[in-house]
Amino acid sequence: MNVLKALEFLLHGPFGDYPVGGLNFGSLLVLCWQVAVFGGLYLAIRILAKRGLRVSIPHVRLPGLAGRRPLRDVRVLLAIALILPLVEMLTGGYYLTVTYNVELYVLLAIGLNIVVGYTGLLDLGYVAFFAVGAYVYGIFASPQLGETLHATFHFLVPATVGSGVHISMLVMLPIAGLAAAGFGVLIGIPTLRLRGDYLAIVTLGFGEITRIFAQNLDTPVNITNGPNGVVRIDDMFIGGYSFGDIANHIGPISIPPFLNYYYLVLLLIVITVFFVARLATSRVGRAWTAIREDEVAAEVAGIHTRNLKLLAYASGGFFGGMAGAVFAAGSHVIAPESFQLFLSVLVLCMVVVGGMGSIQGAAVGAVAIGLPYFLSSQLASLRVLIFGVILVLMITFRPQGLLPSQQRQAELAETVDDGTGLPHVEAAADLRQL
Amino acid sequence: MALLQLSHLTKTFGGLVAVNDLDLEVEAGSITSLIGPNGAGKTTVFNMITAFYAPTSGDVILEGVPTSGLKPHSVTARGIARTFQNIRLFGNMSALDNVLVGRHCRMRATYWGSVFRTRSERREEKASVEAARHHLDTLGLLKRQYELARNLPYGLQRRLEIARALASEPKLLLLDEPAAGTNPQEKVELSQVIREIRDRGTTIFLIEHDMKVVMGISDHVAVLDYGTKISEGLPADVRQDAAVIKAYLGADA
Repeated sequence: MNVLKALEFLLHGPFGDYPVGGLNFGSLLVLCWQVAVFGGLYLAIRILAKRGLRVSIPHVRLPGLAGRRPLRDVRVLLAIALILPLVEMLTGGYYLTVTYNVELYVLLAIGLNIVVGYTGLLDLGYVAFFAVGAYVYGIFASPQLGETLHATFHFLVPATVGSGVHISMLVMLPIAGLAAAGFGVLIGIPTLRLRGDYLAIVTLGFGEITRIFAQNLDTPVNITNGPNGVVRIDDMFIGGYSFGDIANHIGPISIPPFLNYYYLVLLLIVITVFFVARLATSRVGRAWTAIREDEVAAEVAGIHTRNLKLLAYASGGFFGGMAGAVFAAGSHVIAPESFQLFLSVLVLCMVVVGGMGSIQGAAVGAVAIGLPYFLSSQLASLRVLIFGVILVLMITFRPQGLLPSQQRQAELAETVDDGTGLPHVEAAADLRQL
Repeated sequence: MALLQLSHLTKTFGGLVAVNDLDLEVEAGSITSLIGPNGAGKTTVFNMITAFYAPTSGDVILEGVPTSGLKPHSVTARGIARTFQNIRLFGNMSALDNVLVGRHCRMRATYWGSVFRTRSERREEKASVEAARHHLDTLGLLKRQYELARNLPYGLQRRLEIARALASEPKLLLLDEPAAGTNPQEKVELSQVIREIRDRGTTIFLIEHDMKVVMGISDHVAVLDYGTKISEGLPADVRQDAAVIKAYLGADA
């Protein structure tokens, strides 16, 4: 609790007893205090940064991985991801939930990275894809659809349909993904001519519109059940194996539902990484990067920029949509408030903090931001403060991100000595032959 | 028939007539130059040829077929490539990747082909890398293929832009002031390279301010002033033309 007290003092100073909120003398004092404290903190950081204090990622050597950076090695990351939940099971269920949630962030960050990192389209409405995937799964895999159909066409549809449609996740996951991909194209089309800040503002608007749509689409036909959200959503199942069944066990060891979902999301991440890594070093990925670097020159080089931008939205949307479906199934309840703008901002920050245009970067960024964010959920508004501090520190000390892509790394001059004295990058064409 | 034909090409921006009723032909296999004082409308002509601007009236005709209604990327696919007056490379990509992007419209790999690395995709990628290296070699950039475009010296960036344009296997290459900002030695080399490219079968249409370069390599020169063509012909004839001298030096010269 002392930590809380200290943080509260940091935020409110000696004026903590004044009621904050609304415009009054007390809140003005607190505001001045905050400006002074954080302004000072910021300046101190800037001065430290000027002094040449740079943070580098520790170059840990592991046996059998001589000279490799373990965080860059996909096999190491995968091994950690595979074993982690088993270790956590020994410590009880809570951390498994945490890991599972962070893992969803990872999936989202890697998906958004296609749009922001590779193609350079600053998308602040990524949560919309997540929401579409979640709602598509939620509506189809809960009594919601049947009840609505019965209420609307009661003369055609008998009440017995009300128990919902039960379809294997092998079908539902791609459907949710494709719906979100289609939605990506749909919101992509009107934004094609926009760039940079303008694109960010419009996509932000679309993200909010999606949420408000979900909130209001309970009349005239009850599709989303409005602010109450969709409830009684089925667990994922494949064949006769339901992910939510607490009776699942291997031998004497029981398998908690979250473990199922954890490995499902891990599988989705592996698939996503497979897609992104392959695309990045091919004709399509090069075209995306070219669009990021200079859209006009890309068009002149013969790239159909419209189609490729839509393709990027669709790809990012697909993975975001699948993440949404898993989220809906895992939590059994979805409501519009699960899809706030802040989630878009959070995921975007994960991509930026991790390093744009780098898959491992997005993953590590998602952990670096998602983990403290999720763990601090009991600190209420303080969690946003922690988040802000992380951002300021990152932008000051390591603007290229934790694990930047090779290109960005070279851009910020990590020189490899090849005689020319100039930064050296492998061409994507060579990377793929490694 | 000429490879490229500009017929009554006009472009106005509001009240400003940037290009006025321009008729011009670029013969296949030639090096044709477009010169004129600053602001004469030369780059506007290029922008219309590459479909960046829609002409107010008139037509751009490539091999007898008007390009009206095409998007810039389809014009590239039809065989016109260009460089820019202010260099527009993909700065954070390697030189090799820049050239590979230039080959985009000659490659057929699809999304799924890229994800699953189909045999045709791999074969195409390999062939494209070879072709790209060949173009880099032509421009003397092979040694620096792995450097980021933005880290190359200015003269090499200009060359890289030409290499990227060549990668789309154009019939017609538009060069917008390729010699700008290069030193005399580089200009000589550049003229050599442009001739070489022409000799390999690519027609060159050039905007250039450096008269040594223009007069040295052009087969045909056209002069624009305030959007209107004031002279056209062999380099030697254009140089003597009173209207051209007046446009460049003023009435009293």
